[in-house]
Amino acid sequence: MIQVKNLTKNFDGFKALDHLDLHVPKGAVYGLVGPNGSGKSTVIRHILGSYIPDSGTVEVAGQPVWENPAVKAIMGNIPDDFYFPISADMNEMKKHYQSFYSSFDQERFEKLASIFTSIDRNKPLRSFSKGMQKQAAFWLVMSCRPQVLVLDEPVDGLDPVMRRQVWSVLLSDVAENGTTVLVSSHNLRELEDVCDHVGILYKGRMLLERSLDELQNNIVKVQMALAPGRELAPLPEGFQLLHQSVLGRVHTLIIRGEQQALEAALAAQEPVVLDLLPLSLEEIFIYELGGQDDGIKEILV
Amino acid sequence: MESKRSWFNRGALRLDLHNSWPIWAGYTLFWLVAANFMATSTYTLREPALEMARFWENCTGLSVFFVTPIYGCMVAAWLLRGLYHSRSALAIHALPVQRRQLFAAHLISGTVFLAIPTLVMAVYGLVRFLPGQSDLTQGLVAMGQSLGATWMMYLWCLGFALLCGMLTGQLWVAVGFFFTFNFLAVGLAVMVSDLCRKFLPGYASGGGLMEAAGWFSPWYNVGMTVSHYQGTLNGAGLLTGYALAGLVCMAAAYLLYRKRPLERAAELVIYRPLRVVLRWGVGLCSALFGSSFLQLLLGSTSSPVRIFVLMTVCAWVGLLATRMLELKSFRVLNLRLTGEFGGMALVLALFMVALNTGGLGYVTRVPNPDKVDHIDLSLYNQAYYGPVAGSDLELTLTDRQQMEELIQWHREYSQLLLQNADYPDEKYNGVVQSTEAAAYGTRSGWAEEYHYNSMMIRYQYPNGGSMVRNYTVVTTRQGVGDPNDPDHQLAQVLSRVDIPAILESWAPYSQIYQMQEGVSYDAGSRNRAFMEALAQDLREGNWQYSFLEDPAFRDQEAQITLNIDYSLPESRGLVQGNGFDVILSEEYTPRAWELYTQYYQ
Repeated sequence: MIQVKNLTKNFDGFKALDHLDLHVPKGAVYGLVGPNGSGKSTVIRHILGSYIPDSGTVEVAGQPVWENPAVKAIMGNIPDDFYFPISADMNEMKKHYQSFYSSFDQERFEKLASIFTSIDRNKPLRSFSKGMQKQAAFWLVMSCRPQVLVLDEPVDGLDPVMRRQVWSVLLSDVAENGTTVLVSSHNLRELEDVCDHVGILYKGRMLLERSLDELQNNIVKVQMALAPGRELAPLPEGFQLLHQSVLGRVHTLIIRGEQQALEAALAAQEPVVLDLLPLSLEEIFIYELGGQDDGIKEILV
Repeated sequence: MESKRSWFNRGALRLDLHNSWPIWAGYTLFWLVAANFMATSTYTLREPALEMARFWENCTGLSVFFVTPIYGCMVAAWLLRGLYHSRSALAIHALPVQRRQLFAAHLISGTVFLAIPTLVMAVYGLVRFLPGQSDLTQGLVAMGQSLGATWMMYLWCLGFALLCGMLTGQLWVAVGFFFTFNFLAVGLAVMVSDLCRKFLPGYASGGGLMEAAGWFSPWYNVGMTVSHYQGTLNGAGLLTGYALAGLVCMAAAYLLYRKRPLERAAELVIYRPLRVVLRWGVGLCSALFGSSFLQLLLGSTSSPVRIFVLMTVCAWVGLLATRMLELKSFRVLNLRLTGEFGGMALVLALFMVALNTGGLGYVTRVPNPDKVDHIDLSLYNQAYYGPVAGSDLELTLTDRQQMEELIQWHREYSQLLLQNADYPDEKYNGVVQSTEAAAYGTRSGWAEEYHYNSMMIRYQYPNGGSMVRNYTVVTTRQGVGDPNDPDHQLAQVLSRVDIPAILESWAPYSQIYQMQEGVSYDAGSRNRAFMEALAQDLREGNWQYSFLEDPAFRDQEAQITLNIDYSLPESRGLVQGNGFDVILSEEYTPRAWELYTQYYQ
């Protein structure tokens, strides 16, 4: 649904995006993660058609996004910091959105009102707190029935109950209408619960992009204890050791490779104890970047 | 209406118009208050039958010179406000709308913002003045002219402000650009002229430079040109020109907008190549304006080294400040900026060297006699006292031999000026002191030392072009009769000019009218008769021409100055003044006095 190919963007000599590729399948919930300054917001702004690429292409539903209102009309966008015009209240914003989006669903708007009950429709939205403004943004955007949702830190500032409600609305939309969602967040635990695809961005490049299952199957945490006097043998070809620590006779290894083949290879060393544990998205993120970022290497050490 | 290729977008227009009422309502309110004040002013009541016409004529001035430019800039700033913050810019451009539709919405909104107040004012004008107007046609014509002038000025201001707004990422910088660029060219031209006048003897400002500067200083130019009085709107062509230029600015603004990088919102300059232009522009402007200001503070002697140092320091300050604003940081000094400092100093040094060595041939440029159609000479004596005080003369030389002699003198004089750059200044300073002493001291002071004259030579070419030089010609008592003195040589040249023939060729009315200063009288038949009598006297040799080299200095003969401008009858005695404040007195100009009293009293 979203295809970004070879996207490059420079900001006054600083390469924000470096030949970036990104693919979001239709109906997927795609988590875009990366350290600060990796280029997540920049990619999103290209996907929304706000930024002009230096090179490369950005397509949504098979069409370029730049200056294409037809494509933008099927997209909804909730940035980290939503913009409301001066003195605009909810009723006024609804009229604005109705005039821009032909897909705006009045019925849904009224239905969603039961969720966002704390918002006074007649009060200027700028006078609300950040969390309330975010609720208002969700209310408006979801009322447009977008086919593609692009979210940047979407639930940042929301209370836990509202977070759950917002995700619930969003995921039911995905389930019922096949909405494609691209979500950028630093809250990896939350993303792990909702995403089925993940892309890790680092210094403007896509470090890896897989389905979450594939990703979690491909990296494994191994805890093994060897018999006294035995040394850990080098890993066979096809496996990559991302991290290793030793405590007494217990070795803790983070290894990238196919899980079953890895288990067989390690079992051949006749360990006393051998456990293969799945990694959380947060751990995967940290260990993947550990090979790239000196700062993260230090954390791991 | 909203097809795929449409420039119209309902949502974009709605967004622009939403909450915009304070803009046009404030403007309308201002006009209603101002109009009410103007309508009840005594000026308009003097002509009750033409009240409506006079009212709209008054409105034109206030509108075109003051209110409309400010309003046009305000409207542009309001329409583009979303571009100056990253958050709003990104939000607006993520909406399903094209940039051309957003821009078209700005233009439609901008038009609406003036249309409403215009309509209200038109209705007000009609309701207020319609009853009792004997000449409604004149009133309606004046209304049309006034509103038309307002619209044309508005088109220019809106278009230009939109263009300024597109160049920058900050709202206040956009407003600053608008106001600065409306006056910058003429300010720079004045500064450059001032500098050239210091270093280039004969330098004449005006002509092409000032005219171009005027055109590129629209607000100033309109203020100097447009007037609406007694049914005539002067400068309508100029306003039309600027209105068209405004449309071109709108087109340029749109082209820039199409490629505007939103990530640069809040930056000083949006388009990178313009950053260097801005830095150097501010640097050079700082050099000119700053050094002039510092010279005023420090006391001005025209030492080229001193001016160069002042200019360079000011230019560096300008460069540095602009760079700081660009990067929003005080830590901007690096190798690149140091290089720019060096480059700026080099440019200014070359400029000053060029000025100090004759301005690339400017000082010694004198046309060949065969290329000149005729020469206009204007000579103004600026002494306060004495028989030649204030005597002014305007001549047109058409005789080939006279022109060749003058050109030959000009060549020699310009060479002398170039060889001795201090020549006019030194003398000039001496003269000022001397004349001041004369003015406040003894009346005989003028005769002891110097008097000085300004002279303008205009070479008119057959193709309509011209070359102008202005000189301060200082006549010294010591130089009188000295064949090596250039002023004496000039006097000799001028003495051979056939004054009576020239006088006859003048258009007497216009000449008298041009040369009067602050005194208004009819150029009627008495003037013609007087001029004719004067010409006759000259033909008969009753008078002797004396301008620079007055015989009265040497042998006490009666002398006549060509005081074609005759003062008010009260100005019989010696009156302190300069330039055109001419002394006509029985004592010093008996024959002229006789003629004057014969025809004017």
